[in-house]
Amino acid sequence: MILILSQAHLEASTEEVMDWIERLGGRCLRLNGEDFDGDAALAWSVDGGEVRLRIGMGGGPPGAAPEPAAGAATLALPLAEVRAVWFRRWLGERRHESAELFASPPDAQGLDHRLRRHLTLESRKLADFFFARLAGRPWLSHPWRASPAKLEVLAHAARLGLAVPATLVTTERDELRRFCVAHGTVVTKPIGEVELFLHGGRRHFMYTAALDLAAVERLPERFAPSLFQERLEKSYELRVFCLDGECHAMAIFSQRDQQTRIDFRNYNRQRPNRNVPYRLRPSTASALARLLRELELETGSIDLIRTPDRREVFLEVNPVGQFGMVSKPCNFGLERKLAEHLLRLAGSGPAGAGEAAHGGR
Amino acid sequence: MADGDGGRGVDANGSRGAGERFFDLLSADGQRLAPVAYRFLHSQPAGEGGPARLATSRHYRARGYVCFAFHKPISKCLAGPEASPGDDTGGEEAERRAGEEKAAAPAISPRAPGAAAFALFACCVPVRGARRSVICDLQRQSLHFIPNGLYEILTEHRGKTTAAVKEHYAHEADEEIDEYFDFLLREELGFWCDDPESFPDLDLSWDPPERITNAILDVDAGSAHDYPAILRQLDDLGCKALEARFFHACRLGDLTALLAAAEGGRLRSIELLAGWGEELVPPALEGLAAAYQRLSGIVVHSAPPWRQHRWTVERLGTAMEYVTERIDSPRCCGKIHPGQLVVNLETFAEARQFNSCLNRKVAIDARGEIRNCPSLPRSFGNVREVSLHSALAHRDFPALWAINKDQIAVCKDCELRYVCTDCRAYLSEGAGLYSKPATCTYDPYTATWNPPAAAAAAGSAKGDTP
Repeated sequence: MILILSQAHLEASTEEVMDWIERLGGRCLRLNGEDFDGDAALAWSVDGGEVRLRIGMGGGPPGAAPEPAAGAATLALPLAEVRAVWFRRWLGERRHESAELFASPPDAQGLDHRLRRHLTLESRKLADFFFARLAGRPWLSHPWRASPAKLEVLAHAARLGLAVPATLVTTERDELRRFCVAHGTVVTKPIGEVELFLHGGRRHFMYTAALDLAAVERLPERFAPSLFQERLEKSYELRVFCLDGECHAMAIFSQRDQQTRIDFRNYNRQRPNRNVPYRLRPSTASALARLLRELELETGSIDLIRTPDRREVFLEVNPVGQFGMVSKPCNFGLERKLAEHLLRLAGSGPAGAGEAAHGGR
Repeated sequence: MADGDGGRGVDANGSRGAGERFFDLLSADGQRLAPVAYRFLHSQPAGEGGPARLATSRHYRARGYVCFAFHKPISKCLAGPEASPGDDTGGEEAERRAGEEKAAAPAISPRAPGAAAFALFACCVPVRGARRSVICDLQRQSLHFIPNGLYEILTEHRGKTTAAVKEHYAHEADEEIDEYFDFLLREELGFWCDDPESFPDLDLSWDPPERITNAILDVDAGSAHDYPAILRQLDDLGCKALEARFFHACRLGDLTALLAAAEGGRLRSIELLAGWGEELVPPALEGLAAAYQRLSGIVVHSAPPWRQHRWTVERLGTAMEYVTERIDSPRCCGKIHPGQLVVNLETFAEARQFNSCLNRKVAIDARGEIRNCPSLPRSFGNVREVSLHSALAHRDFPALWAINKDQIAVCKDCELRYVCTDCRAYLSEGAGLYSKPATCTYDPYTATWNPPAAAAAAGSAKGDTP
């Protein structure tokens, strides 16, 4: 059986992979981060020399009406039957991050934050217990390997012959000015992940932002450590999903639209950017496959920029990136390929390889 | 590409002219601790995200199960609009619209082609018809009619430079060719590139995991369906979309009985067609949409004329409509008109291989008979005695699925053949099972929609024969 670690919300791609596992004759079970956040009944014990874990999941999440008769449909996770694990996501948002935790506002400053932080750490630790319990099975993207250091990855990519942008992390305006003089306009982006803040009825997105020399001069002499890269001229942005050493690439024509020319995630919904299949140069494709192999990533979502002088410049890799946004517009069928990959990991092989087509194929 | 915004300070004020700047909300300490990226956050009004419908699904253990409308009409009971949109030749209409949109449109690069070749975006697929062709924009879901001459340029002369194309036509059509490319660029259907080999075609194969993708369930005052049993079987087949057609005047309870039975299941879309009954007032319908978010639309038929109205529910996007047409039996189905054309990748890819109406469809009529479609005579047994699974296993059940538009008389010459969802129940004469749908008034040999009904009623000589 394939265990899928996911979250309870907005996982249409995960569900399609589940459909494929079923269609190809496999079995899977989905466990959501929310199960560890109150949805499931958990019991862990150290029993003699062994750790025992019991997870009691209802037939569905609570509130899924009509709820099956109590007890009858409670399903214990059969850990022994798990042959492979797919880590898709865990908890997008922990319940205690959004919940009102105090009956009335606490009098001590920062107490609320302290409580939330502790609950989050506890919840992370518990998840780690669980992930450790599944050691020894093949994982597709282990969460402990889910965030390779950006700078190391860039250097690694460059060693493999990939073009990469000049990159600087600094706290000093003088340093940034020199960088800016050498490379022209630069962009800044978070060292880790992007974030979105809601305030005053507005959303504030951390899209990649561009700074020219004038903007640099307006910065204070010292600032918090920040990441800068040379701003590359873009013909298109490339988004590549790599699985099993095979690259599935899509070109995003974000450049012709003012709204998306710095960062395509600033979607234009009226006239969406053109997203079309793209054929990477063989040297780029093989270097990317090798990079993932050497980073020990089974799968990855890779961002590149195609420059007007036809270079394919590597930006970054996200090990648990989404594949639906590449698979759907290009009709790559990645959901099926993922299911087949998982079935191979689980040692069951894609059953039904010779199955009768149901009006399909 | 020339980059014009270098001197503008770029995004030095991330929230240009748009209220607060996030960075300004921070204290002196906050500003000191925040990386430079925080000074350039992009601000936009909240709540802009598209409508969303979420349900729960026990099968997938999903609480936020994303629900969306099926990619094409499941049945075709409603008559079309009076006018015939898209009835034009040679992209004139598109050109006119392009003119209107020009101000709002992002700048295209009218870069001199030089050594470059014109490439259509892979999602813009040209289809040739007898008299004209069409570019199906499968991403933005629109049609752009083009002359067959342009089709030829885009296909036979694909990858050639403009100079080479002009040369091929012995420079007798230079001006038209320039106009063609201007049109394609303005409509953003393609781009100049010097490496067309980097841009492969879309893979147009079609094979979703579901054994059945969509189903029709007919209900009348005398029906005695066991909804939970039927829905359980549809779930087992992986079915994601259901249209239920209630031919009689309905009470709210008739609809909730079905909707409640679908809760927690696998369907992502339920469309209802229900006979007007006085309980089906707009607030009640909106209440259903909020309570049962699998609902992607309700059409109330046989409504009094003053009820005629069409809207979408805020936040959910559920499509609601009252129509005066009387839809009291499966015989109302099979209406082909411009309003039924669907331009998207799924439909297009499916239609190239399979029958665009019947493929992977199952229907249960008001008496419980299992059919390919309620309008077809053949029954594969009654759902009370035969499981859907075994009905589908019958050799003849999938037979009709394989009749694609390339095999159908007249349709095979029609440029709209992959965006049309066909009908195999009501056929015109001539080619038996491979005849054109009876209600289609489009004539691909003249590229005109004949006036609906009028032509047929008058027994006009202007039939749809070539």
